[in-house]
Amino acid sequence: MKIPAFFKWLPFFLPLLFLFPALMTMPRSGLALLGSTEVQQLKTVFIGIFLEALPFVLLGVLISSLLQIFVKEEWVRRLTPKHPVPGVLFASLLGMILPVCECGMIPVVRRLMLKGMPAYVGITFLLSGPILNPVVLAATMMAFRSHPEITIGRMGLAFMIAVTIGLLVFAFVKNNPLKRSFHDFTAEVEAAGSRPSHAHSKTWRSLFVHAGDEMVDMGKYLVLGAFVTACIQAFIPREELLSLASGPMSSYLFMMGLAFVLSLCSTSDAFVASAFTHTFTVGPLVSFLVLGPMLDFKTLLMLSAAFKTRFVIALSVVIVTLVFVGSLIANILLGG
Amino acid sequence: MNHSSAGARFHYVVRALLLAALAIYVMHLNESNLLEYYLAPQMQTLLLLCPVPLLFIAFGMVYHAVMGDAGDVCDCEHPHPRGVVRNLTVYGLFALPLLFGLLVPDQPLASSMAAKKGMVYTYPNPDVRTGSENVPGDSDAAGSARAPNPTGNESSPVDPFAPRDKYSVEFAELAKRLYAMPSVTVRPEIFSETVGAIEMYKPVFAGKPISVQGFVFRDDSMDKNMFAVSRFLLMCCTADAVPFGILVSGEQASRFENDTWVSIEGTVQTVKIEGEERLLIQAESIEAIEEPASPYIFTNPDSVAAFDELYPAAQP
Repeated sequence: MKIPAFFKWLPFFLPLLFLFPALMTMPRSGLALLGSTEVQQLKTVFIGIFLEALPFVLLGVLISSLLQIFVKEEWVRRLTPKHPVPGVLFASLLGMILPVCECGMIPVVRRLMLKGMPAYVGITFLLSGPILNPVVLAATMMAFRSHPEITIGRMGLAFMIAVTIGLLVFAFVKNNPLKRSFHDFTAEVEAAGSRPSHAHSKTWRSLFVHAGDEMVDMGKYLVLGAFVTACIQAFIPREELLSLASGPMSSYLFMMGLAFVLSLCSTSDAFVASAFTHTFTVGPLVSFLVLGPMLDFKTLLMLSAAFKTRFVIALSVVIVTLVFVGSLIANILLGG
Repeated sequence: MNHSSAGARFHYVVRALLLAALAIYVMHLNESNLLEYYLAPQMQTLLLLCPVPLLFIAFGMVYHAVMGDAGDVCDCEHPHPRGVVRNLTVYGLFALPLLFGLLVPDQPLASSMAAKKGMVYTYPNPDVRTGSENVPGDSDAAGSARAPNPTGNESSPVDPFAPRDKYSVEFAELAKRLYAMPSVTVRPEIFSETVGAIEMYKPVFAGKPISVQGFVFRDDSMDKNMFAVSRFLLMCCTADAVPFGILVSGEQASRFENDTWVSIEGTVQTVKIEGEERLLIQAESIEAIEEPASPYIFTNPDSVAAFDELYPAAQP
């Protein structure tokens, strides 16, 4: 019997295992070089964002793996409405019963699309889910207790934008926007059919292997997003950013830019926005609250893990434009 | 064929090790009570659900790598990175939080971050500026003007704690209870609410003894006998932390360095800074204390109930 090369190398990695306890018991003071205040504060924010998102990403990849193994393609196709308008409306309200925040959303949507969910339904769900759900509704109402118009503006605008983009995707995106195209996926499975042993077994083992692969896949983008966000928070004073927002138009751009770089979770961003209530009118606040969950540094990177680069760029441009125009209108309608 | 299968096995082992290390890191933070530095309590609970599934996944992947048939171990679903540089980038990126976790000492957010974020001296009041009224601090002025009877005589027929509107009922109720105490202690459980309630009825509380704990924060505009006693208010994690402070004035104030944790006894005063009425504590004593195990404060969904729980004897 031929021994795979891997087993020959395996013993060499065993000593590495001892590194873990050694590193764990290292004194908390750490290395003096890395002990500067700025780096420590950077770490506190970076690890904070990473640990906050971790449960949601894990939940997302576990749901995705369950879908992969136990949900048949035909079910997804049968359940999706045939006509685009009910399809988009159905997708935009799906978040109401499936409250997953933006980090957990991407692996789930990618899996559903590989299973045959049309792109326009998937994208609509991806955009509306993190905002139009009961948890975020409650958090926004709490943060803007005396100003229900902000909550109305946020929910209304998110709904309008998700539906609009869903219909745009239906009209213009004919190819599969996923990196791993559906055809490749089926072609590979068919090609593998000649080797019977290759068919993926539907066991707990393949559940964990899929989840682990996807976790590393999504995790690296999450880490990068969290790291850049933490750098911005730790090194750039917010007052300096605020001084850029002097004119009425630049206040929109400032709040949208802030939402993009802060990469907050949609359940907590309303509270951060409420700190700006004395500074800005309804419009910029709504633009912050709608743009952040749909598109921020962290999700942009995670989106590019799942979708083709051209699609991600086009989607980002459309989201930013629609949020800008939509919040201008919201300001006129609700600001009084 | 055999070679690429070995490569796939290698990737599975690396991934499994990374995920296991992540699970161990989370457990290590929990063991040493360091999660308090990063997350709000409800998020800590969610995070602690993670290590077990992560370890299961890691175990599943190792089992798959070692025991899987040659045909079973494939990389058709998720293409593994090719080339040494790409491998190092991808796995190095995933290992970044672990490296930071091990190499950089754990520290709660401190005054340098408060300066970057901008210290908040008033309870984040959900009043939105509308297009027509551009007067900043307009609502504050209305609030203090309408808080009647600054002497705060409880037997007075006019209730000094009449809520301004239906949204300030909770604060009015809390303020009433706080005022009934001989001296106000700002408890960390209801820190922001207590300060918010006192602030809403500043004229009534003027001269009231108060005690509070927090870290020292200064900015350039403060004179040397002043600092702000501060805490970070967290919603979910350190990314959304808001630095929240009360001005303190006292002769010993200059002796305390930034970021020192202090306990302050003093009386409630107000001061006008940049055209804004702000709360100020005239300190009688300032003492350095140990940093508390839980350095941050959180919002409380029902501060009045929390107050009643903290002071069961003081219920009206």
